[in-house]
Order: sequence, then C-alpha cells, then structure tokens
Amino acid sequence: MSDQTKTDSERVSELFKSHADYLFNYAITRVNDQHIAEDLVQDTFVAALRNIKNFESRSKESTWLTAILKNKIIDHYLKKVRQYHKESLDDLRSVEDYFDKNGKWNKTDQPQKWHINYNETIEQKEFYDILNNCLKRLNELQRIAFTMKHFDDIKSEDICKELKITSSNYWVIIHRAKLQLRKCMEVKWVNS
Amino acid sequence: MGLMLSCKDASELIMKRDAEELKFYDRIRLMMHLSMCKFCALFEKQNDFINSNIKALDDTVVKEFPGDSKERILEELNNT
Repeated sequence: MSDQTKTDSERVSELFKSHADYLFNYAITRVNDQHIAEDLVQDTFVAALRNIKNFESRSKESTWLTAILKNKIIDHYLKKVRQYHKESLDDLRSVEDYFDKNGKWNKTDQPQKWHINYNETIEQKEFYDILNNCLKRLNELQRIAFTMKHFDDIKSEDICKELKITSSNYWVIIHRAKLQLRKCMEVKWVNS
Repeated sequence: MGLMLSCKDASELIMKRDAEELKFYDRIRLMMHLSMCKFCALFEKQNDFINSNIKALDDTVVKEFPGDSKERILEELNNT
C-alpha cells in the first residue's frame, strides 16, 4: 500500500506502533505516573491524527511526535505547578537536614567513594532502572524543575519564569533534588 | 559567607556552576574548599557523573507502553 491509499487513521496507527514505546518511556521519566504518561502519549497521537495532513514526510516522524509530546508535558507541568502555588511554596523542604548547623555534611550523608570509573559512559540497563527509581522519589516540583534542567536543557531563568518561582526557591529545589538523587544512587546502585 | 565555605555552600555552588559561570571570588572559594574537603570533592565528581549520564535515559527504553492500553488506543485511532 502506498502512502496515498492509506487513510490518515492507518498512517497514525502505524506511527503509534513504531513510536509508542519510545514516547511512553520519554513521558514516564518526566511525569512518573503510568496513567498520566499513557494519557499524554494518547493525546499526542490524537493531535498527530488531527495534523497529519500538515506533516511533511521529509522531517523525522520521531522528532515531530516528540515535539507534540513535549508540549503536552509542559501543559501538564503547568497544571501541577498551579496546584503547588495554591498550597504555597513556603513548605519547600530545604537542604538543612543534610548538613549540621555549621554547614558540614551530616555523618550519614557524607558522600562515600564509588568504585566506578567516572569517565566511563554507563550502558547497563540496571543503572537506568535505578536512576529512574531514584528520580521517582523526588517530589513533583523537584522532578519538574530537575527534568526541565537536566533533560530539556532549559535555562534556569526560563524555568523560574515558566514555573513562576523565585530564583532562590529554584536553587533550593535543585540543590535538594541533587543531594537526594546522589544519595539514592549511592545506596541503591554503587554500594548495593 | 566568608572566604571559607561550608560544605552546604560549596555543594550549592557546584550545583550553580552547572548552569552558569561562577563569579571569580566564588570560583576561588570553591577551589579552596574542594582541595581541603574530600566529601565535597566526591560530591563534585559524582554530580558530574550523574549529569553526564542522565541524558541517555531518554534513549534507553526502560518501560514499554503497556500492552492492553496499546490495543485500546489503536482501536480508538482506527475508529476516528
């Protein structure tokens, strides 16, 4: 069957079959909820079906679909963040519990030696499984700020603007997220 | 913050350095602290390691789309 004789539904169904796993994986890293991730991917394909006539087959399908999904994820983030603002950002947990009153590492939080080669790129699935699990333990706002920074390379000032938080709030969120993530990786992966 | 940084401040500067260039004064203070504190030196290394490996998470399919939902969505797409 050539592309001309296929209906739009058939074309999008084929796209779904070949890209659903990648997009689902992309979404779940960022939203950490299986059902929301499924919904976001579904919405992506509904939007794809609506716009398939405008899709230039010259551009890469996966790039096009990822761009749609990205927008859906940002919309989802904004909805979440609005809930947070209702509850107030004052409850933000600071980094205090990792350090003593002089700012020294608490005994239990001192970074330990990792017996790995720091310059090596990790290709084990196990590592990514654990990293994913550690990301899951971050709270919603931490994960949103963290994924925007580390996965999507958005500039700090733009993240603050997008999430409507102050720069000092932002750095507390990121700092705590990283302390938590590092420790989780140490316990679950390196020294397990 | 005086010339001597606490571990808390040092780890925060390491974080900020990922995003922006630090002021000269902060760079010096951080360098001094890192040369004296083995825990922060480890933190720096491990932070860099996480940063440089984290991106590949997008290209590693850890979780596949659940099969039963796949069927359901395919059906919906076909009936649209």
